[in-house]
Amino acid sequence: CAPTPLVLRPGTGAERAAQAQRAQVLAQLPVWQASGRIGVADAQQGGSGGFDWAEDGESIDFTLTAPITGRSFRLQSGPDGACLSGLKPQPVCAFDAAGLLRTELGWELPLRELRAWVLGMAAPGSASRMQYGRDGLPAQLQQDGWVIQYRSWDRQARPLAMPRLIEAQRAPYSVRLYVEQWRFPELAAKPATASSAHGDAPGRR
Amino acid sequence: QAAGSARAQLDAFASGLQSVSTHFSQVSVDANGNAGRSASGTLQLAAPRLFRWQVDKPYHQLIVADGTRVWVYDPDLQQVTVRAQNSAEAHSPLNVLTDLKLLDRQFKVSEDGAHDGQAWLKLRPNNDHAEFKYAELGFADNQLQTMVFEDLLGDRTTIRFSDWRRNAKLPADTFRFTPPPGADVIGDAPTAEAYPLKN
Repeated sequence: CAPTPLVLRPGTGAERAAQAQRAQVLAQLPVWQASGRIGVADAQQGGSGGFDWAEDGESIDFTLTAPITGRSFRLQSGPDGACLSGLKPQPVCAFDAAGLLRTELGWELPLRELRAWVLGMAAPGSASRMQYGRDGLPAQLQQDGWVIQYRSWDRQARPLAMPRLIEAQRAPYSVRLYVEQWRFPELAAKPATASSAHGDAPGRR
Repeated sequence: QAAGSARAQLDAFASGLQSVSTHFSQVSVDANGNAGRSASGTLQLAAPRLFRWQVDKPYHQLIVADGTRVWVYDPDLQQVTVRAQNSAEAHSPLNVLTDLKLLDRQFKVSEDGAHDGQAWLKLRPNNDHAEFKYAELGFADNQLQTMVFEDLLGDRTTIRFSDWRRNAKLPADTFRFTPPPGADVIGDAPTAEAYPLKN
């Protein structure tokens, strides 16, 4: 389904209020899992594969699987450090996850901000500019030199509409996520998964 | 039934093989035994090192190696990534399939007995930056039925092949790829080394 072309305009009062409410609702749900397809690229090369991303407010468990096309790896990061496994016979560990991605993969990714961006909101702590699309949902966010485009949304997701196709770009990097399934285990009601949900296992433990 | 040795069946399968097409179903299991991703689709291979790996379910992905470049197209992501074929794909398990006759150049190949009605070969990469620890090829009736490989994460991927068609006439553009309109193309593949295509 081709996403609606990006119409960009500042938010109305109601849209900005809805955005503040998004931040509030999601702040109550620190435990989430997302899975789908991911494409990462820098100037020279790029790759794509499946991703499983699990968060519980303190730690990140992110796996990229590209068995045929490239390298699968798993990044586990928590308050006391981070480990990256799958690139070398032995896991490589360090204090800071972003530093690990820089040294091991040559990627310069702001993981803390990316966590907020993928949920459809700006990261706290630095200036940002959000523009809205025709459907009243966030369409483009600018923060820390990155441009994040929300090209399509999953309106059936619970507890509220969640981004489906997200692109974060800052030359020479581009990270593109197609989220097939969002899960918020803490939600009382069983979360209605996206219409094209698959039998993918949730984030790996 | 796993008749002859795996090696003999590999040679029988690979000899006189100009092009081949097959269906595959792939499933991965992680190091703790949790089921990971599964996918199914079609695969075409042709000398000298052309391949087309098309995933149809549960998502869509197309990988085409045209002899010079490897194109990976993800319609969900609306993205095409492209890279030179010689460098990257040389370490990927798919390369095992494209060079069946030349396995001994890249791998230490050893007979690995018979189980599940197949005779097995074990392949250990010669170089240490391969993306997988080992691969296993299962043969029956002189056909490659299964490929299993374990990556450095400890994920084991099993690919079952079915409905092999040998030297079938393949459409002309099987191993060519043109990015569809609206898809972003990422990564530029230098044409440093182009394989002369002998049609």
